[in-house]
Amino acid sequence: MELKRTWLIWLILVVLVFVPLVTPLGLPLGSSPEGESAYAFVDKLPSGSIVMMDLAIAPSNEGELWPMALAVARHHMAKKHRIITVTYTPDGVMYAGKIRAIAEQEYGYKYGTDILVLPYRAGGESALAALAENPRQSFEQDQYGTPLAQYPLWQALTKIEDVAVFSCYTAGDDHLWLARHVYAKHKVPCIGGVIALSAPEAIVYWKNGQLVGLISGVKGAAIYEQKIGKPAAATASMDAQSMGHMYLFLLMVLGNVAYWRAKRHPAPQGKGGNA
Amino acid sequence: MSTDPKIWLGAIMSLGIYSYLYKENPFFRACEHAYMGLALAHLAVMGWTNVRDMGLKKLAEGQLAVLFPLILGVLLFTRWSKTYSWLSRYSLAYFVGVAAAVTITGVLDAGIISQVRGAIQPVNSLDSFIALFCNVTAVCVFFFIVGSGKEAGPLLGSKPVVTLVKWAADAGRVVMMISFGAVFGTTVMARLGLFIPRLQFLFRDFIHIIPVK
Repeated sequence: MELKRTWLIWLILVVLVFVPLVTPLGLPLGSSPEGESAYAFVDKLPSGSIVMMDLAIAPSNEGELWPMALAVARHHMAKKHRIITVTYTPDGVMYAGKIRAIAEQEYGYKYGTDILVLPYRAGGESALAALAENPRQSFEQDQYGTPLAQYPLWQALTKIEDVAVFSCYTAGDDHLWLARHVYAKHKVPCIGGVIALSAPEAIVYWKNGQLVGLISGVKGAAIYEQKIGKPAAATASMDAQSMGHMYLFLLMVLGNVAYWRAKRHPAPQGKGGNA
Repeated sequence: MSTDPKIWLGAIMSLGIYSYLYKENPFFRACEHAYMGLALAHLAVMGWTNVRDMGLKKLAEGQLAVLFPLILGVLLFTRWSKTYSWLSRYSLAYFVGVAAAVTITGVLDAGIISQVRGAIQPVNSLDSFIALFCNVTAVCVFFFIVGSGKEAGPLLGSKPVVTLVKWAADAGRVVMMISFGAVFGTTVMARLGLFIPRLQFLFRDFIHIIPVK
């Protein structure tokens, strides 16, 4: 009986999430001042600006982080910014490769001149701090083993202050590393792209001006997709997200009602019950 | 339905992982182990690439300075030996020391000074009032944890002080509950954010029920 009830709860969730994926309901997205602030900052950067993207994405968080990284990357490409990707997560280079492919195929970017893919670097925060102190000494080759010195884009980057905005997409603390080592020490504007779980902690850095923008979770990604006029994966899943949230909220209310009811009318001892 | 073997493999693995919702089973175990194996293998290859490019290649070029991190790295493996495991402590001590030094310099400015500076704002809006209230009550969480009573002495244990501490503790408890609620809410959002793309993959890319736009 217990198993059936659990299955029923899951089944209803799957149905409620599945239906809007097949027939979108067009529920409102709401607003995200911190996400819009990120969009506004990127949008006003002049063409040719050097931007860095720290892709701390992995399959386990791809659902949340990849849509926002792609949306921001597309925004950079539309504005003809020069992109350098970096990662301190082993899987991050896969996503950097995808961004490179989109840049070359859809936006006519030339590798080495308009976009560069730096290899994975172990060391986490220490490695990022080293990059902020001296980019030239931190990396000598790109992801494909070619010396970076031969690329015009790398030649244009002499110090971290040459970067117009440094964004990260992370389920960890990369946004805090940026605030500590890139913004605090070099005053380079930073944007945090975080999973929804990290948003309550990260938002104080945006409110405090240490991040110029904050994109959080699928909702943040969907709003960014809408802003750049390229609705994609995040937008498509927002109706499902909303339905899932409403269902879980209803379950929480029902759970609390059952709890208070059981407290006021406790089941007789020895009769069992499954409250 | 897709004819791409990669999509089929991904779908079978996804269904295998979700089969845990029914109960623990060999199919789930196989998929879980395959995932862990692949992730660790990828990590090992990327780690080795780092050692090769940043250590061994430079050593071959005559840059003897890289010997220092290479030796520290090798010393970590002495943990497997009962006789020489003490050597790994030098490596760990060095790594912890460097990490602490790098982190502390950044945290002091970005995590403490800037945050305190940001918290000291004129109370001229509802937003700033809520921020002030939350800051004060967050501090009061301390009273919720330590409490106060007659054992605190004649002054701190007096009725007015104990009542004040109780109010502060109650306020702190409310702020804690709101904070936990916010974290729980965003956790739900995060989990749905992972679940929905899997559904899209299974029903759009695999069996084509969801239309591709």
